Amino acid sequence: MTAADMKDMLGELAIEPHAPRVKKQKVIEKRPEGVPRELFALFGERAPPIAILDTKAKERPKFSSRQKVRAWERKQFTNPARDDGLVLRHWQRKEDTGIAALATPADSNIASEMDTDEKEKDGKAEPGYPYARFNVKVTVPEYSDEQYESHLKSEDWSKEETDYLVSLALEYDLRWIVISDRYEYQPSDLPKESADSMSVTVPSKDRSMEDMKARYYSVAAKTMALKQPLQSMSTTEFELHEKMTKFDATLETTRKKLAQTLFVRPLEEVKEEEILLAELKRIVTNQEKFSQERKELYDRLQAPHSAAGSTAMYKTSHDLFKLMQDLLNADKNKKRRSVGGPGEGGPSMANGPSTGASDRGPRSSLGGTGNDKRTSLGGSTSTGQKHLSARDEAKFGIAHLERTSTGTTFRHERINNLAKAKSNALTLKMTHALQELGIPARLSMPTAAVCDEYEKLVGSIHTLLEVRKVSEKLETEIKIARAQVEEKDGGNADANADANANGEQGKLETVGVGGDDDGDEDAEGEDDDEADAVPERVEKEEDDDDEDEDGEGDEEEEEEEQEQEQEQEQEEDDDDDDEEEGEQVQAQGKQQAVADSADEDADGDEGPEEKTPSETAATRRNSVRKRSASVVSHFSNKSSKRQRK
Amino acid sequence: MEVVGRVLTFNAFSQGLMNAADEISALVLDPGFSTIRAGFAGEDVPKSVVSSYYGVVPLGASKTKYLYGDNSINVPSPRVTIHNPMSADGNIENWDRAKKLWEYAITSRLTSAKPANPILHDKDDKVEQQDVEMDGMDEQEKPMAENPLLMTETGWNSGKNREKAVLLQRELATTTVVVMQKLTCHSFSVGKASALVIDVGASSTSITPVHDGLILKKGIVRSPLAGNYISDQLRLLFSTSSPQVPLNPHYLVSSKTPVDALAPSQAILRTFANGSAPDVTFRRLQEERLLTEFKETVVQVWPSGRLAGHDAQGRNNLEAAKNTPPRPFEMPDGYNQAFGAERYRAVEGLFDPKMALTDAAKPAPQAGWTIPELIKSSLSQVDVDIRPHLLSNVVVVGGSTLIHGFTERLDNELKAMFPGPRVRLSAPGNVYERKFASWIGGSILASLGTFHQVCVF
Ligand SMILES: Nc1ncnc2c1ncn2[C@@H]1O[C@H](COP(=O)(O)OP(=O)(O)OP(=O)(O)O)[C@@H](O)[C@H]1O
Ligand SMILES: [Mg+2]
Repeated sequence: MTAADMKDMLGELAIEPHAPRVKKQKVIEKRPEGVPRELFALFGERAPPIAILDTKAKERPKFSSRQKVRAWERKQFTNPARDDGLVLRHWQRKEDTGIAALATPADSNIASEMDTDEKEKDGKAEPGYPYARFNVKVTVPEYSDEQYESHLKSEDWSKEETDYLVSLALEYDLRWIVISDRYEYQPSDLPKESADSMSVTVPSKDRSMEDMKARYYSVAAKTMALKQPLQSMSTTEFELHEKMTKFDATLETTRKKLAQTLFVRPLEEVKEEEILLAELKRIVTNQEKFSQERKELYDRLQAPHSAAGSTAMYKTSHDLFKLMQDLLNADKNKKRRSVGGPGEGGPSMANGPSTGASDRGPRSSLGGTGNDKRTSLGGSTSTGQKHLSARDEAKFGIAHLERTSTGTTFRHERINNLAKAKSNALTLKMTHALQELGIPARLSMPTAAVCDEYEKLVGSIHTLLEVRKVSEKLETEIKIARAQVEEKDGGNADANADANANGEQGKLETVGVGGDDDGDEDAEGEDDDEADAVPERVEKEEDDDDEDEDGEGDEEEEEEEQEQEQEQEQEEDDDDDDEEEGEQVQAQGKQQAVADSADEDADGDEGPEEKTPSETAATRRNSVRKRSASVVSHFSNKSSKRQRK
Repeated sequence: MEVVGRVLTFNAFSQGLMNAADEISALVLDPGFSTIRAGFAGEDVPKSVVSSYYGVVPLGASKTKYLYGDNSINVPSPRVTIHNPMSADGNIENWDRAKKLWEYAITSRLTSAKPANPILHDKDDKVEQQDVEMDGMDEQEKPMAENPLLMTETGWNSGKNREKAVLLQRELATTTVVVMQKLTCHSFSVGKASALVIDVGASSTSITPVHDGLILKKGIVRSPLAGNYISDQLRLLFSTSSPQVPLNPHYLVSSKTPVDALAPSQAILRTFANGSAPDVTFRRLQEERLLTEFKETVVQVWPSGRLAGHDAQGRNNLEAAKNTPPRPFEMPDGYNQAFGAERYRAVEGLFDPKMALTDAAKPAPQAGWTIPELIKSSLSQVDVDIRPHLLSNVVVVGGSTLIHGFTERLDNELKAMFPGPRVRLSAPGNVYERKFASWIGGSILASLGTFHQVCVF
């Protein structure tokens, strides 16, 4: 770079800043108005750091088009609400009278009101002070001496004191709190104490507010009735009269005492109340949930039943398929329900999903009629499979599953979910149990065989836990029942019939008993309900059936799932069929991988491997429950016997 | 069963509140133990706030010079004595001086002094015979002939005092005099017709239940534990701490050199010629000013629980107080100290009598004087039906409630004492609104259109 270049560049730069500076100075030199030239000269080249404001005044509003200036004057006025003729002054518009005429927008409301007011008075001579109308006084009973003598006499109250009370009521607009505060009646025959000890003197008779109210209301009611016989009173007047005659001082006193105790409650009670309220809220919401679930279950159990009269609709397999699809969709939308109840479901599917492919069918338990109708859906799974030797199967890890989930999963994924139960609480318990047995939660050699064994173990632990739970529940039931029996100790046999008649209501009433709040949707939820219903069931055996059906309901759901899975399986199989048979195994493996990455199972359904243990668990649970139910019924027999005694 | 009353009455007060005001240019005067507040009704802050103290300078045998207003009473004139027309419990004792003070409060800022009245013409030249004839005043000389006057009074004012106040104000104003209960005004200042008003001023703390704008007399309770008591506690704290904290007001210090914290001050104190030194009362007033400054900047209330107690985790509050960062303060003579836990001690006596600092002359306050106890006994005097309502409308006013942490502590104390009902404190956040609450309430009241028909003239 040469010096010339530099100069060139600098030269251009050097010239540049001059121009704007000159301009700026020019701007500054324009002396703002109001700043004397001498002063401005002192500022020098640089502008002062203060902002010189434009001193131009705000533009004047143009009044000229409107009317001329309104004159105001400071005027004397009297307030008719005062009887001493006090003269005060305030500002008001000239030649207008009263504030009423100040028709400024803000006041127009009052003004117009006042106008009408004044019109109503049809031009009373007095201009009136607008605020005087706020001087409202209550109407207090008036009575003559004779009236008092004949009607209002009281042993407790002298006429003077009654007069005093009424005057106070008038003065304080019947604010009883203030009246009782200011009440300082001095009987006239006693020398009146000097005024300055007013706040110190105690009233001769300590009148409570209730005494005063009682006296006042009785006087007021009587004078009201004297003035106007009851028959000719208007409704509001009559109501007022009724209210006053019905005033009960003792009731008021007790109420106040209660209010007092409420007011001085200690912290513990307040806390307790808070807890109870929270509990109540929980119970109420639970109850709502419970009854809603029940209702839904009923709906579900009954709705197809009513339609079953016309099975003609479902003659062909296609129609049936559609029906099933609809039902499944409806179920998908709902959460899985877990409430048992007396329903049409019937124990038709008691043998459960373990019966395998041959038993797959439409929702017989739902339809009630479809028991013998088989669809062609079930069969297709078993067709067209090439058989490998047992050793090969083990080698390739081929399993013939009774049911598969939708989509594909890796076999190893099963390892992670081995010890998982349906709820966290249950999983925790499970892990504890495994720890006790000295088996690690994670297998060190998770071969398929080991996993199978492990699953079996987990399944039995599961059963153990269930059984333990049920036994605990039974114990509490027994305890409760004992307590009840002891309490009743006899003679309400008809209560049984009653309870039977409205079993559901009975159940709802006892919902609060079981405080189990796991927040667990499936298994626990049922158990909750069971526990809740316990005391009632002790009394009537009918509900035990309930119990059984409860289990069945569960089963049904399992089945639905199963069916769903089958469909998908079938679809997959169809795909498979297209492929060449020889490559079946590898193809399947590949396909699995592809499918896995491509359509990751959005539903988050459990893998096929997981299904088995839970199914078995479910059936076992079922049986356990039946057992527990039978125990219950047994027990209830006992208790009813005892009751009979 | 309150129905009957509710149906029949619709009260002028509350209706008045809802409607527009009518300006009658009333003056509002709110005399307190420490300051007198005066201003026009309808304004939001008193225009004139003057000290309630006045100075007396003896001039020879029969002449006395009176000093009013902050500009003159704080000058260390020779042999000046300082007085307050109010007794220590907040009642007016010296009516003549009280009247002069009120006149001063109004004329110095609000209305122009009438030339006909030489007394009001120039306050500094104001030399008057002590036995001056006041009756000779004619209409012309009354300072506020045009304006009605609303004056606040304490709820416990005896009837005799009240009459006297009215008489006295008739001399001040021709037209009208309204004596309005101070505490009603308080509740109006925060826009509540019903409230439990807690006023911690200079001379006394008072609790007053107000229902529908009317004071419930039986519920009024008060105690002398207020700003002045806190000042006394501070004096005690300073004299008993080691090293002793010197309390030399500004006027005594003629020069000082900076010293380290806790080091003895190196200041040259002013000396007065024999017989011309200001009275001890003057020094006391100056000390009071210094202490108010100290209260504003250093003193704090332990906000949660008793200082002598423990917090929820079982930690000693006193220990916790020691761990709070200290606040430094420098005295006029240069002595400076960072005040740690002791800054909480001075106010604790208002809540917990056991924690009050005591010496032979100042015994511990009565247990019933603490603010929580006062509230309890006040509430026990009113009808149980309105107690919860009052508790949810607790209004906190007065200069001494401005001490840091005061409302928080009061809130905690009340909640601990009444766990059941809802407790809600409303304290004006603005310093001026808190200090001048009774004046502001009077200002609102006096600007209502219904004002002059409701009040007893
Ligand atoms: N910011 C503050 N912090 C703490 N205390 C303060 C503060 N400001 C003022 N004080 C104290 O408040 C008191 C004055 O309060 P206030 O003006 O409410 O009393 P008053 O109305 O004149 O007296 P009283 O109500 O007893 O007649 C004085 O004792 C003063 O020391
Ligand atoms: Mg005050």
